[in-house]
Amino acid sequence: MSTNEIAACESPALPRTAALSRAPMARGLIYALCWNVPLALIALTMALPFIWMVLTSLKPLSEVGLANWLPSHLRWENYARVFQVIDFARYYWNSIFVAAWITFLQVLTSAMAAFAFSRLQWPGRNKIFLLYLATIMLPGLVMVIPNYWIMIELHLVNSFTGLILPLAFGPFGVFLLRQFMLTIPPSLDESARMDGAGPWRIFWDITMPLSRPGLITLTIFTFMGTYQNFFWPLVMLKSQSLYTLPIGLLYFNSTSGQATNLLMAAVTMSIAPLVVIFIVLQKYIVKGIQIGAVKG
Amino acid sequence: MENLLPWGIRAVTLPGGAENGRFHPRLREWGGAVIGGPGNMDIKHILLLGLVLLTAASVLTDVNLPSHRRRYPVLHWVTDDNPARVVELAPLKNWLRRHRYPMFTVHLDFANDDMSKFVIQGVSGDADTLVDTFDDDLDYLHDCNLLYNLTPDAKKMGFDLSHTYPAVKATVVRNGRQYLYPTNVNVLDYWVNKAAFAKYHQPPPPRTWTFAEFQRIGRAFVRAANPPGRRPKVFFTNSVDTRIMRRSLGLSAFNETLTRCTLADPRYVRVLRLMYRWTFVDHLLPTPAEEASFATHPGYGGPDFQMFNNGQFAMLYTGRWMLIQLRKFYKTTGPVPLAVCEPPYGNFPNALLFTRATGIYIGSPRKKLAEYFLKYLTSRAYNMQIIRDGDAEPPNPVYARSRRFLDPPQYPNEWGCTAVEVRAIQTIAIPRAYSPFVLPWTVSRIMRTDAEAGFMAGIYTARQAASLAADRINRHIIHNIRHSQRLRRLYDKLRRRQKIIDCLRKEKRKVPLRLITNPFYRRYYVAKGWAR
Amino acid sequence: MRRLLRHRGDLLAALAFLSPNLLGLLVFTLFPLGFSMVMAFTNWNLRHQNMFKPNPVRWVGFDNFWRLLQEADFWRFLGNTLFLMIGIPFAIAGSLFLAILLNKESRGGDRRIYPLVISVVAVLVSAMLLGLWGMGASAMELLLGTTAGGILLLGAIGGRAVYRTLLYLPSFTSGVAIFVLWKDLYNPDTGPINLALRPVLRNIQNVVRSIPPFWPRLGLWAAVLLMVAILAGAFRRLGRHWREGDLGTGIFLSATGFMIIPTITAWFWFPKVGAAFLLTLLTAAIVIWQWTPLAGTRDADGRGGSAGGLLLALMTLPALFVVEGLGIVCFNLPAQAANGLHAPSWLASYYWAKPGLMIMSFWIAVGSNNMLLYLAGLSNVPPELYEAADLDGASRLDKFRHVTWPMLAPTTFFICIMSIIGGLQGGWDMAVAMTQGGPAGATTTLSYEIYAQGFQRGAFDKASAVAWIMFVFVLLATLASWKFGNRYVNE
Repeated sequence: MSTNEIAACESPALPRTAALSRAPMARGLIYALCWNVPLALIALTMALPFIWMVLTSLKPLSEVGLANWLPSHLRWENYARVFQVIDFARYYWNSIFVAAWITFLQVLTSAMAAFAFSRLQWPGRNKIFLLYLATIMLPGLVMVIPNYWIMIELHLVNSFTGLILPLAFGPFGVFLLRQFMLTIPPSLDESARMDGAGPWRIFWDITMPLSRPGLITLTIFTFMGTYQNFFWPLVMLKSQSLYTLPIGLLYFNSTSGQATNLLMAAVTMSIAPLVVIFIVLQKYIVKGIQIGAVKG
Repeated sequence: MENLLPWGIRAVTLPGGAENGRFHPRLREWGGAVIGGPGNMDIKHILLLGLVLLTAASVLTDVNLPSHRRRYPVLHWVTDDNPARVVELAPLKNWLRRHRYPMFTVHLDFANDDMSKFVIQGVSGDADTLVDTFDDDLDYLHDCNLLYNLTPDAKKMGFDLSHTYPAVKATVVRNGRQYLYPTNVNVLDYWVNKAAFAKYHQPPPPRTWTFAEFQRIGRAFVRAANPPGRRPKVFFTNSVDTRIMRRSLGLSAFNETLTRCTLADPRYVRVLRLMYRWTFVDHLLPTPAEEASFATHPGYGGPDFQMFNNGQFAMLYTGRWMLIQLRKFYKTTGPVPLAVCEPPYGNFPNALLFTRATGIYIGSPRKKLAEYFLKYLTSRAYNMQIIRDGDAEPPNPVYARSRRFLDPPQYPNEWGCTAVEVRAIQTIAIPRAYSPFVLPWTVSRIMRTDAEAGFMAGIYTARQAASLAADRINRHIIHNIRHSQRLRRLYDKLRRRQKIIDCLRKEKRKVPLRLITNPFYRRYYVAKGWAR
Repeated sequence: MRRLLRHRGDLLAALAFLSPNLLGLLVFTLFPLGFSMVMAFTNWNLRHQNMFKPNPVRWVGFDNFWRLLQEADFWRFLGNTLFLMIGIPFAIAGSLFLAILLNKESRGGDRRIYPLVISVVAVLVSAMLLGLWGMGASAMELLLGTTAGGILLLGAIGGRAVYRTLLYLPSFTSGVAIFVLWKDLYNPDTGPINLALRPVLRNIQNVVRSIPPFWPRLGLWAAVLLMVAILAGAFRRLGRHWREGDLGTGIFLSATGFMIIPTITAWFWFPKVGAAFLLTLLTAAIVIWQWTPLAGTRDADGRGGSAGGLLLALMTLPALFVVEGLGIVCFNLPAQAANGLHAPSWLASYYWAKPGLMIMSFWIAVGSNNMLLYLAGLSNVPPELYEAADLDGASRLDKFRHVTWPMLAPTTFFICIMSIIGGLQGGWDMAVAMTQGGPAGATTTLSYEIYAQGFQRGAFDKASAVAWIMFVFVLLATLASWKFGNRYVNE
């Protein structure tokens, strides 16, 4: 969904084909300012907490809580100190590690299941897919407690395996990828079958390459979702060496005293990758949401 | 399980026509080679690479876990975030070496210092070896059967009850079995910043006082210390203890046989009203909201110690452990002249013993080593460290009598303070009333979070809060005895005793002491001369 | 024959492809679902039945549910959950507003204008900054000015993507980090929100003190009139829907009932009984006035939908409550000002903790996926419709009411349902990270209660029971969306 597509269905208040004379130009200018100024003001309001966060993270502790947001001098060493007062590098690594595993499993198994639902003909296909659809609507909180019990029984509490497994097989990815795979023309499969290709080959050589946008979207969503995930690590993890970022942030105060400037530095650093990813991959994210995917 | 946005949506399809993905532009015929093209990696290979990388990362992560890189076995100790713990552990290594005990290291775990967290971890089979309990935590752990019974080993190795204060017994023993050894022992008292009183030309408070005296002195202080018409910035104290006040009026949370919660009583209502009045009318202490706003003070104990040192709190309701932090302030602000007062009493002076005590998690494979740690807590090395460092009273009373402890030579401003606390431990301290029919943890949650916080927030009147607390606790008792035969029998037996006691009291006759199980009433009846 | 064989081959292949994901789904979703149902009917508490204390788990039937329903706290927590959901309509309205703004702003029109726009903006921004600096503005004001100007300039250059990014960031980054950030923003003493509020409140206090208390108190009566006006408008619409047969009678009556709730609460909340009395009187008058002409006019072959009525009630109710609250605040203002107006202590205060969380949620939700969905919806509106409306001489408001809003109805309905489902399950994350469910249970929602019971007290039985009660609510919302959604969307 690029900007131009939307521009194509722009409101007719500004006739596109009109020749540019002085008057429409002035009108266009005023029109542009009219929409830009309120948007900029709203965007500023939305950004204020972030601005405060970054500025506070650069203050010395004695200036935290003053009405003036600006630090008297920029203390970049706050960022370095975060890594000293808590094991921030490890939390970072753990978050990315866990999110990567979950994403990998999620994408692979979802793609395979979506393939079965979209490209193969078999009895009972629709019924089982309906089951998948129904589970999407289930409140996750209902399942948390039995899942925790499963982890107790498997002796996986306080381990990465226990953290990864229950999150790695969601129905949502199957649904999303099936939507993508359904758009691939069946004639491709037919001709491949004529040439003697089995499902396995078709999956890897036709369906997967053609579902690339869907795979990328799912990868982004799963990764983002698990990077931010909070509940399951909160109940699963005991050892500080296994903490992920959200848990590390949650217990920041209890492990390092009340240092708001350091806390804000940590918050900034944990948000930063998200912001970068969003800016770089905006196209896929916005499109994924509008197709029907939503950050899980 | 998903990370739900606040009003976020975990959504599916747009009901309108959803636009679908487009075809790969480079698709010409079927076959992976064509689609992949040079420089554009095949998805299969990407996934394969991902798998290899992830496997490598897993190995790397596992190798890098701290537990794989230690020379000696590590015991994790769940305890409070307190700089003193670090210092108190320092002599351990030498002590182990000197006595030729097996070598181990102890790691502090502040992040799990939360009983409900520990219990969940414990019943799930993975919790730290050493666990600190405070106040009434033992009942919770004992109820879940999460601690080793230390009785035989304690006697053998020398950390049994004969090595600590007699009053501690109620905290560390259940059903005649010892589960804990104290890390330190304390009563709570008002520590007085005499400089703050002098600054506003107020005489320092007396060592003991009644509610009325407390109120009069407090109001005079707050009036002198704050400009009129504004919200006060300087407070008389940080908190009042409703439990001690209530008990000083002769009211325990439970009846004589611990079968019923008796909080729905005008005496408790009176105490609640006093607390409200002192907070919101007289401003002797900060409101909960003001307390939450005392901002970002780094270091142990949060803002309270700092504010006490500044004189923003003239008195602090705390224990000797405050000295850990206070002595650090001496270096910059000079020593504060200190005194200690007891809490205000109605007609029956009493004190509550707060014991921090350590036990061993039943699922831990390192019980033997952990017992050496408990032995260490009785040692001279550990106890002298506490005395030097300003934590609460040492667990081993042998060391609490030393002159160096009571009147530390390098801190003349503290002289006489600790003696008040030690005397309270040895004379008026009465253990809390633990009813076997309801978890103390539930009782204090209902009392503090439901009733008292609700009352202070203005949701309930004092009378409603008192009857709500009693009502909920009694409902728990009824529920618990209904689900346990053993409790039911005990309950019936004690109810019969209670009837006898009630009859005797009505006829103003003396009650045989053996009928009373509530430790508070045992003392109270004797003091009042109601017992025989 | 060949065909059959092929299908059998496909079945095996399908099973092979499906098995990893299906297995995971069975073990970690479907089995837990059934198992939690079983747990809710037992007395399984980790305190009593765990690996070190192997007591038998007993079947207790509906005991857990009965105990829950008898507990005042359970109803309070349900109330908290619903209270927090009052913010949903505002967030949706905000999302729609932003989407419309964003949709207008784009580099439509002639590209040749844009260099002009950019240079004009640049000149304006620098002039403004210079002016500020010349007036001796504080560093703070300069900072805000610079940032606003920077955003404006970036927006002029980068167009919609810049604004979209900024507006979407709160929801994209929302998580513990954001909650921790807001906890500090809300610090009653040193948080920037209260630091900014304090001078404002002092001014208000001085103004209120200087005028006679009569005027602010008038606000209560103004609120009554405003509420009556809103009610009249809503009833009128409702009546029209019903008469045209778009609305079933049952839904019509229950929507009316919903909308009368604020009138009833007025009797408890209003500081003046007279105002509550007046409100009741006028509400009754409106009902009678709107209903009498309706009798017997109903279109006999109406389809009897319900979504329109529900949506109307859901949108009206929060507006009424807000007006009601404002009226009460106005009335109490003189007395408050006499004591001195203090900034709220937000998360530490029983009464302000929930509004605090709602404001934060609004900030998160207003630029969220909802906004993106609306954007997509707006771009799907055929331009011919606007052109036709232009030919009819329609005003902007008309175009919104008769073109944009109906065309967006499917999106709105979808967003509403999803927000309701999300809202019913929500709140635990904010409570865990910011308030611990407090003060005095003010921010404990059903989902936080599940967490607290299950993972703080080990009461798997009770937690599962709460979870299943919540599940029933979510199920009802989902079923409602299935039943009424299609009908409404096809209207």
